[in-house]
Amino acid sequence: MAKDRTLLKVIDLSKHFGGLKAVDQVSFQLQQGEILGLLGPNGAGKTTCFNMISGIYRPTAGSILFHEKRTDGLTPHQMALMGIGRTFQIVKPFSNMTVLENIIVALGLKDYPSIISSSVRWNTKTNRSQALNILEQVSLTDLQNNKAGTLPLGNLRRLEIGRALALEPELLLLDESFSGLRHEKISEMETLILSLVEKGISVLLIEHNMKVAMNLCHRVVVLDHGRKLAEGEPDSISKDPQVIEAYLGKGGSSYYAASGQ
Amino acid sequence: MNLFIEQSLNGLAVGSIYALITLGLALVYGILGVLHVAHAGIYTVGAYIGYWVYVSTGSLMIAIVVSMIICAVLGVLIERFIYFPLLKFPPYVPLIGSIALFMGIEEFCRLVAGPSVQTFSLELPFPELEFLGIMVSPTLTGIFLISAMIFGILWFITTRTELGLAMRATSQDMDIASSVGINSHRVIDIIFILGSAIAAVAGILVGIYYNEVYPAMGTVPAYKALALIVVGGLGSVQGAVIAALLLGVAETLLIGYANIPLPRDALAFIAMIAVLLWRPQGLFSKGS
Amino acid sequence: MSSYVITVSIFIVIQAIVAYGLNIIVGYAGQISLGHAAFFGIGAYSAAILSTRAGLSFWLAIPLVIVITGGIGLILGLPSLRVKADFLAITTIGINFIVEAVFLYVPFFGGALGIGGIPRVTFMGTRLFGMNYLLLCLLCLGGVIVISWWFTKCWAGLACMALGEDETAASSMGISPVRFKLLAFVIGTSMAGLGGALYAHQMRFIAPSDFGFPVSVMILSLIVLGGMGTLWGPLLGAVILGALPELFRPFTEYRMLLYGVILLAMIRFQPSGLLGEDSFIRKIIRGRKDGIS
Repeated sequence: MAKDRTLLKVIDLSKHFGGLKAVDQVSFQLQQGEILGLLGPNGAGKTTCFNMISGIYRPTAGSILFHEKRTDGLTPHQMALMGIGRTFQIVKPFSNMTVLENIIVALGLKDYPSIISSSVRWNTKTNRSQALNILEQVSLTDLQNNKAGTLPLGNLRRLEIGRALALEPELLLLDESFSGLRHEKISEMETLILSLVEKGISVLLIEHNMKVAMNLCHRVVVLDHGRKLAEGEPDSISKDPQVIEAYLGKGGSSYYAASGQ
Repeated sequence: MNLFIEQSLNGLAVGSIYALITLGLALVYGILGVLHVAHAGIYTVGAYIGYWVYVSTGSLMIAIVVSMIICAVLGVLIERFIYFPLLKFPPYVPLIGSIALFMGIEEFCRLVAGPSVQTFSLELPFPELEFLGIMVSPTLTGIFLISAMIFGILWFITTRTELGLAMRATSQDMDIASSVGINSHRVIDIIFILGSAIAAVAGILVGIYYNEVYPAMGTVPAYKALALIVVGGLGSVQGAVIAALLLGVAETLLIGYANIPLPRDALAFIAMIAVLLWRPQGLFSKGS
Repeated sequence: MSSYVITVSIFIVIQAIVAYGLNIIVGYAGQISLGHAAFFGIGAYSAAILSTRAGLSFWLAIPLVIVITGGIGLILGLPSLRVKADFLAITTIGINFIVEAVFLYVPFFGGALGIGGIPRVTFMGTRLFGMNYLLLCLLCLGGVIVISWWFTKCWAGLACMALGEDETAASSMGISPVRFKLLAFVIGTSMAGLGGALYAHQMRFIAPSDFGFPVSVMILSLIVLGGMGTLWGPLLGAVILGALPELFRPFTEYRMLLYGVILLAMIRFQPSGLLGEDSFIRKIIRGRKDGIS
């Protein structure tokens, strides 16, 4: 791999809701070109952590640096302009627009900030072909003229990724993109994500499905009760007794060892 | 000092009536998420029916009962034919429907009853009481007693009965309440029945208190009630009631005691803007 | 054309202009606004004051009127748009009442009697009224329709529509919700201001009650009837609801009731309006097309 550059730095990130420490001084880094998984059992704080990185929550303490620039406290649209794209676990398509139009909305990223550029036409040949290009990458070309609201979940997930792709992001935040997907669709999604990385996009994902996450990620960060439990490559993490204990409870580690995983 | 007490009592009476009107609105908003502006139309209808039945029968009791029944039916019809089918649309759709309905009801009253004011002169059959050196008129006493009774009954229903539990559950989450076996639609019906019947009483009380019944009498209460549920906190029925009482007292004291030349009806909206600026979740946030 | 028809037509065109403004806010950007008449009023009063007290000609005053109305729209819009949807509805109603109260109680605006003696518009020495004035209004209507049309074609319009569909998703694509909602609000209120100015010079007397909440409801019913978010909906709605009471002259008593009933029926059975997506008119047209093929 070429010289690794740190794209995202999360430093001592904390989020308190009243007395509850949902996220407690979590730190990790994401390198350019990698797929980093944010894992942990239910209630570990990974969604909260993710939401801070994507701008939905403001951290109680700590900082988030993207290319050495602070992003904590920025609004989602400012993050998009910086090169961070995201998908949503509960999909949010623009239901009454066509699939193609959904993608085109994201293509306007650079035009939205100024009054003059936002007065320009959007339905141009260039934009349509660019959008089609992206639809090809997420295998939704056939559905381009369908109303987004009519698509099944699997396709909606791809549409979410397509829209995020159209932003030409450096970092893509994937929010449980595999949840609710059936078997065949899962491997299709894995292939898609790997192809994104090949294009130079780095990925941070949260995922409940351990098997998928371990398979896909270059490295993972495991949270438990708001704290970072472990960080490293899937292989070593899956053998880490603390991690196993967090997922399966005490006594689980022996079971795990016994099952010869 | 006497003036202060007198005006405070007046204010409390006005506030109680506001509270009765706002109660229905808050209940409906709590359970359907709809701003039931047409509620004020039911209030107007209630006043008219009460007036006519009283004039024809001479009995206030019968007037109140008949009015409550008719308004309850009207309320349920509105819910079933207008609101329920529109729930699947964005909230401004049923809101527009409600406003249209309200306009229609007001106009209908105007066409049927004529635009002029009917004088509802009657003193409520309650004793005249003395309070802190002030003579409280029978009408005022009546308003306090009737409102207190209604609030009491409603409080009892909501907190002590199974129905109340069902009401609170359905307000929180209709789907889950259904899945636990609660007939959500019936709960909604009941809320409209209660709210509308109470609005009818409020209309009659207003008619008696001000001695006037006229087609447009619902307009100002309609929008004040909206402002009140914002001030009280959208979703908090107690909050709305308390805000209503406070508003009644504030309005009356401002005009009757302090003689401040503010347009009286603007106070509700000014309070609303102030709340939105300082405490957008309302003074008494989401209770039940 | 008889002068009666011309007068009615002028009124219809002015209402349509104001409705197009509301259409941008509600139809394209998906924001509730139940106080649009307030801006109609601000435009009318600005025009009235500029022409009667500052002696400005219509042509000089118009840009000022638009800027003033849009500017107030900006100021009022900023806090309003950060508020949740349900609050927004009530807030806009509140704005309507408060603006009306200002016109009513602040002596500068003439109180309950309003402002009178507003001069007619003059163009190259001739006073415009009747047919000439209708043409002026139609010109303005044309401009407003062109702006609406352009709005749907440009990025700003697309951004507003995306915001109306799903604000969180749109925001994550670089669309600043506050910025674009405000943009729609300012454009919409400016159009209402233009309509207000035309109204002032036509009626020559304006009073606060001309711009109360029932008027906001009326404008809303125009676009609900015609079709929210469509290009021709506001015009269609204005024509139908403007012509109807005139056609039913003997029934003017029932005018408000009619409005209420039509609005209720539309919102209950055809919320997307006559020209909307699922309207029966569109279905008939589609049916014919299928029949032909």
